[in-house]
Amino acid sequence: MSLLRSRAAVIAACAAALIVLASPVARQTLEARLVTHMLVQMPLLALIGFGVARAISADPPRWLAAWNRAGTTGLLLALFVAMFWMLPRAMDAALVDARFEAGKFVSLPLAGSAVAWSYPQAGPIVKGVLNAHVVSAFGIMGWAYLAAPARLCNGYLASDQQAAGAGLLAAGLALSVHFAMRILRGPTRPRAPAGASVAARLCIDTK
Amino acid sequence: MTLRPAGATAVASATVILAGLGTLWHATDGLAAFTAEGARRLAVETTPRPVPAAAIVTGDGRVVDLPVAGRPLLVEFIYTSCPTICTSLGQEFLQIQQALSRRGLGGRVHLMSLSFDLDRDTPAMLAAYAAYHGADPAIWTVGRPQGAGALRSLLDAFGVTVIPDADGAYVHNAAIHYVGADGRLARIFDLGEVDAVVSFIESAAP
Repeated sequence: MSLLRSRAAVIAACAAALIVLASPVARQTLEARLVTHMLVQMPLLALIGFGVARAISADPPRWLAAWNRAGTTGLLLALFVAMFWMLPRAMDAALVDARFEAGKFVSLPLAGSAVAWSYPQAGPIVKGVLNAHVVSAFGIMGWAYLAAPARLCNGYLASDQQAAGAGLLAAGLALSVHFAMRILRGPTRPRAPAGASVAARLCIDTK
Repeated sequence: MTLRPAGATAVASATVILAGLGTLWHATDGLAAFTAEGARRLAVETTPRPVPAAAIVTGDGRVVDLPVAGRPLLVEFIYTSCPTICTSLGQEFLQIQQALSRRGLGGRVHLMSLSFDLDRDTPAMLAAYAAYHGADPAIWTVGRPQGAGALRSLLDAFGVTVIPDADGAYVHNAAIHYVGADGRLARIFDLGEVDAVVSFIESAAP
């Protein structure tokens, strides 16, 4: 009962957060600067989707699992959504075109829930590649925003672009520290028993 | 549903990949434009877009119509108190004016500097900007749209975004816009492309 209640509380909190983020005041405030648009609003939207999905169930629902073996489909979906919103013109469009803005408020929570129901299912190699990819994406984007000779977004000042670049680099650094700490602390999931096959040790689903 | 999980996942993943690649391809005009500015330039080149009619108040107090019937235009958006990029825009227009006069092409195109700062840019300010940059009234007009509505529709049609800066200044995507004799915005040149602009005018049908 308390589990149910806490689940409902998480979902309600996420829904409330989504409503607050969608309010004109929050949108204007967060979208006024590129750094908050990109590094506060967008991650929060994804986090809301992640939170709701995890509150519904830790594992993906059975009907979905069949389409999402090893989390492949969900991770691909999240990657494409992330790539789309990394386009400077997509962010510019969200400022002036309500369809893009609405699309952002749907696609990012969707990507967040896709991660929640896919990342834990992925094998360790895929996870490692993804982690490295995400860190390098932050690094490359940060460098691109810092080094770009012209403004990338018509809707933002050049100083904003610099701040966003620095923010992206900082986020990439924070993520890499986080991943490094996890490696240093050792695996979080229990080790496969000594007699288990190599496949089982690598958490590869052989069924 | 009889698909085995691996088969179902393969189908779903392939769908996501195709949809994702298709969306990214579409959203970047076939990987040609990653920024709104790049998209704007590509869009007008592939599909020249009509410029709305607008009344322009000039520095010498006249009111002229935009677009100018039957005459191609080079348009740039400025504000006269701009300390940085509009000065470059003004200098480039002067270079274009000089190059066109030298080659006897002054009649081919009309230059128009349009201010978006309706509050501060009075006709007197516009006239001062024209004089400072050496505008020849036969070739180059400095003006501003008459009224906020006209300004809005012009900025929208040209795809120019103006955002206020910290200290009363503005930031805007600066460029030199070519409007053909048919009244359509057909090319957008970057700052520093004076030679390209002049040879474009030279090669365009008189």
